[in-house]
Amino acid sequence: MAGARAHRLGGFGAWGSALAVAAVLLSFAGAAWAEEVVVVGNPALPVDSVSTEDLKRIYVGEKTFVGDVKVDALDYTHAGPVAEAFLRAVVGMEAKRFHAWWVKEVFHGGGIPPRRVEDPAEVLRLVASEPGAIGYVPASSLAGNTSVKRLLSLPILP
Amino acid sequence: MARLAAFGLALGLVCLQAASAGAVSLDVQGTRLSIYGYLDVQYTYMDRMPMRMGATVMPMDAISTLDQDHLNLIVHTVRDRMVANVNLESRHAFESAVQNDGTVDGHGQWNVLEAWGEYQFSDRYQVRGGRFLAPFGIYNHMRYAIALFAPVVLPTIYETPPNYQASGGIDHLVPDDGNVMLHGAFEGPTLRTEYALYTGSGHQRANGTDKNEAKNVGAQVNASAGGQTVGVSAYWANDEDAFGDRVHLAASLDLYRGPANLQGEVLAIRSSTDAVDVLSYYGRLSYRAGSDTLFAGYDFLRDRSNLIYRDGMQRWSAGVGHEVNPWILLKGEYHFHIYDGSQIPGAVEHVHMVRVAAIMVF
Repeated sequence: MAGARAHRLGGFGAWGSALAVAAVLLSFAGAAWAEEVVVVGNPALPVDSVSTEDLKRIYVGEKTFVGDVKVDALDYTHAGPVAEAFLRAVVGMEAKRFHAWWVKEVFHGGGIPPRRVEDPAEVLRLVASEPGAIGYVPASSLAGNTSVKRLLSLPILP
Repeated sequence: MARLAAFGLALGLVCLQAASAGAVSLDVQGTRLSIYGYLDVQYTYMDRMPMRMGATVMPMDAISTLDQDHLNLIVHTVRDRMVANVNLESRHAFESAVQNDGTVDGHGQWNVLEAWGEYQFSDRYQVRGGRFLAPFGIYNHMRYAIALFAPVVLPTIYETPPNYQASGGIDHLVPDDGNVMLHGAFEGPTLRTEYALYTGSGHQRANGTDKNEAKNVGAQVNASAGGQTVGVSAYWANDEDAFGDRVHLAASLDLYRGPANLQGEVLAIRSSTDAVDVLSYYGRLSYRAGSDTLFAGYDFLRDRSNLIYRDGMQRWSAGVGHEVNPWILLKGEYHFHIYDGSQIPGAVEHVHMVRVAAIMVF
């Protein structure tokens, strides 16, 4: 039983998450070096976009299916600025807190943590080849890539 | 003093370990195998404790103990829609070692607490088989990992004091294990409803074997909206040779408002032979301020057929938890027990308990 996972995050809660997303957007709106982070999915996913709220539910394990397709969320083994900004904006936590939170969730009785991979190239390879795979990469790593589906863009620190 | 110094040393060692914290994970041909764990070091002081000695109640001397209590490992395997979990535990603390007959046993033994596999058809329908903690109330399905969640000491509904022998030999006030379960969640625009239906082999005999002639069934429904959750749980067991049919009913609420969290539950147990008549409830308010969490709570437990608890035991609690970092938690709490049993010869009316713990997640 998952429980109300989102409210056990110890972070900002639903309103707080919206504020966190807004704060991230505002923080980097004027920065000349700001870069987009793009949420990408396998072409077999039966959706063309995903909301930040659904994305949060996917990354905290509340939503494990999109249509009939089992979702396989991807995260990074070593959290860099992109992962830090993404997780803060989407789930309201810094990366190491998010990973520790997931350990507790596994002990909580179930749930599948995001699979952790090394770099954006591996995210793109897995998303292109595995139905249900969803991940996030900096927009610069997507140049010319047509094998994945773009689901959402977030302007954050590269 | 020596115990406190030892606790400080143990805490330092735990903090040193944190540098390497993190789950071990391996991906091989579409199967992901991960190992997660936690361990804790606890110091417990209890000034005395009423213990049942035949037909009377005697106070036990003060307890002052420093233990590496829990060491739990979960082996977690995922392949497509299939998930498997094995939960292993080794315990050392005095609650885990003192048996009902007063002997001490089981220190450091490894036990398989849970071992189950699950197939996920969708978010709404998932089937689990094996041995798992039955979903009941807020904490039952995670009570083996309570050290990870504030506070250290569970509500009496889930973890009765060591001097408690439940009515007619019930091991716990809450269900032990389930063996087959259908569960899932239905998501609406504002409401999320989670359900679980399960059955199992009944509570265990004293020698640890399943009591196969005594089946059980249970169900739980939790509804959440805007961070507020209410739930109901029901469990029915047939203990033919002891008390006939036995029913456990519970209701819970779990409310969040900013950094504040209010939890409350009430549990009633009745049996068809009137051998079991238990009422327990608690309320707990916690407040999170940065990396610190403060809490205060009240527990009540009454068991009509128990010499110590037949008129009720109240427990007032207060404590604080501190996150050194996401992998290391420090907790300290004070509990004041009031036993409403002054008419019992030799009864103890008040018990003070302090517990301090350091927990490392890895």
